[in-house]
Amino acid sequence: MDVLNSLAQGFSLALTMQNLLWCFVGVTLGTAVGVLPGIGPAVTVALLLPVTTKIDPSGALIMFAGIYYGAMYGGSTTSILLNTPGESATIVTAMEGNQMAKRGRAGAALGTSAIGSFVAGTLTVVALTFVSPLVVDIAIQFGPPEFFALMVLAFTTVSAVLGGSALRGLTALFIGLAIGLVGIDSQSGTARFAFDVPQLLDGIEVVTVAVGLFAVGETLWAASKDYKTVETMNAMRGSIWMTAEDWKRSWGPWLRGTAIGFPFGTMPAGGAEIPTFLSYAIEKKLSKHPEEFGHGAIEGVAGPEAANNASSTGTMTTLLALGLPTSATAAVLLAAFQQYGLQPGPLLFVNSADLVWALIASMYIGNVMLLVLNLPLVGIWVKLLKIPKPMLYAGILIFATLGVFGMRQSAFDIFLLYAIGVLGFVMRRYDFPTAPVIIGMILGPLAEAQLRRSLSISQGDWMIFLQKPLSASLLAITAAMLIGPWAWKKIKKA
Amino acid sequence: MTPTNTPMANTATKHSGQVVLSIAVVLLGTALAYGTNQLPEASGYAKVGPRLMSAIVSGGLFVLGLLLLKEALTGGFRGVDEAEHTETPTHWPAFLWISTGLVLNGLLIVPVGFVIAGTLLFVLAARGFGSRADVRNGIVGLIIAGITYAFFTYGLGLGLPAGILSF
Repeated sequence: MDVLNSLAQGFSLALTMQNLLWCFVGVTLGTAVGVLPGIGPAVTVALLLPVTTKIDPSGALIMFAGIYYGAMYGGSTTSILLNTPGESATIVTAMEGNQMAKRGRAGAALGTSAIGSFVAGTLTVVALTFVSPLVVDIAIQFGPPEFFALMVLAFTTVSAVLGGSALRGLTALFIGLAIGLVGIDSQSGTARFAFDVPQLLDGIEVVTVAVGLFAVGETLWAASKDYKTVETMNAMRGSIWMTAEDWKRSWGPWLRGTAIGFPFGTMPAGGAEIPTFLSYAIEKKLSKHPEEFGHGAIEGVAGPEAANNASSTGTMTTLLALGLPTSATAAVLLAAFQQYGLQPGPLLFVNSADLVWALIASMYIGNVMLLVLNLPLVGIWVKLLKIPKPMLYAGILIFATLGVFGMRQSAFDIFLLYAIGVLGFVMRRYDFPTAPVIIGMILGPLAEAQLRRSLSISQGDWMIFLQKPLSASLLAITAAMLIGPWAWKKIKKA
Repeated sequence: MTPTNTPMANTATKHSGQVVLSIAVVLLGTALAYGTNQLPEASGYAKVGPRLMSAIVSGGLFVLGLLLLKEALTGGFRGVDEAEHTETPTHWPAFLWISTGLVLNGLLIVPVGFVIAGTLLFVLAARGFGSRADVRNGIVGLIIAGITYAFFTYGLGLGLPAGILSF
């Protein structure tokens, strides 16, 4: 078995003292930022991008991936104990888990989400291990037109299909694309959109945009708009060791949640919110106690928690095998690879097989660490929730300036950080999604490179995208998704 | 609220923020189109250069801005509940405290150093969240900024400015 050999090789690298340590740092940080409101995995990975100049690639990427899936574990703790979701993917858990906690069953809710996350995390890493080589085998035959069409499809789904408004999603995406274009074009050496500002010639850093939109924008919002929200904390009551009845009611939802979450994560239409809602709806349908839903049904925590964890591994699969980020955090991870001159995608499995397999192996190890961190040690994380808001957000801002300044040692970037923070505030005020900005900024230049490569091959003939069957069908799907809902409305009206 | 019954002028004032924002997007598209126009023509037989993507992006933003403007003028952005925002008005002093903190940080981080600029940011941001215990916040901020500075400078060798504290 080729895959098992590669995986064994990966384990031998991941099990070195140094990489185990990075994995531990990653999952611990991930849990912490998952627990803390106001800071998430995308910001955390972005803030740590400057350290890529000091750490070797395998260590850094193992740590960053750990932050990503670790945050999925931590987010549920906040959702169960506080009346606000720690991460957007834990909204459903916030509803049902909070109800459990109010009824003195916080322990069982935390237990089922931690174990469910572990079951989902581990099963999906197995899936990733075997699925990604298959995807790589297919994707290695893709040429520039296929990749370009795939990226256009991803742009459309993350901006126009998900979220409240296709128009606002696309506007966010185009703002991201514009940010991605700022600076010197690597192919021709021409400066674009720099408007004679010397600091803009080198482009705008990912960390500045991600941290500005998410951390600074969120801080401005929390201080000036959200000041009325009073958070009430539920007491940590009930044993975290579930009863036999809890186990019996949990394992089905865990497995179904995993099965729903993974494919959703791999698709460019991903995002962890939809599978959690879907899992919740299915569990409600299948449950023998549907009347308990909305009042603390354990199935309503077990299923969605497994689903959001499974989808994060699914997202990793697409990122590694196709080089396609389907969430803001995945986009920032892609930027981390680029810091090392690495490009996720089929070629990565060929050129940097050691690194990829060490990363995959580390995810098996990380999930075990997370189970320990989130089950017996959950009490430590609960204490994080007691940090008063002023201290929490003021602290986040110090880290924000650290990451942004650390990237280029330029005070200009701090002002840019503030400006992008204000943009994030305005976008939040008028309900524009922010994830498409990040994805557009990071994936945009890659899409442009594929576009230009395609047109060089075809000597400027745009028909190349329609002559290749795969790119033609991908573009057809994209067009259907963009025009479909609008046409449907017109037909219904007529 | 039934948008169809609302007179046009009324909607426009009710959604003035949305109108301004939409126009800003149109202007951004225009400015970027101007920037695109400054770029050199593509050379070589493929006829694809740095202009193509810039043109797509600036044109896209221009059109999207117009579509947003249309929504803003005809009943407001779809799915945005303005009533919700009038109920909890923006608390501008908080916004200002945090803004001051960040702008001062940008001005001071190089000449005065990361630790002091960070401590000041911490105190001002905490003020934004209604905490007036400046001295206590200053101490907490100093500890956080100090530890971070030490960890990243000595531990990882990241170049953070020492400023006036260099010795």
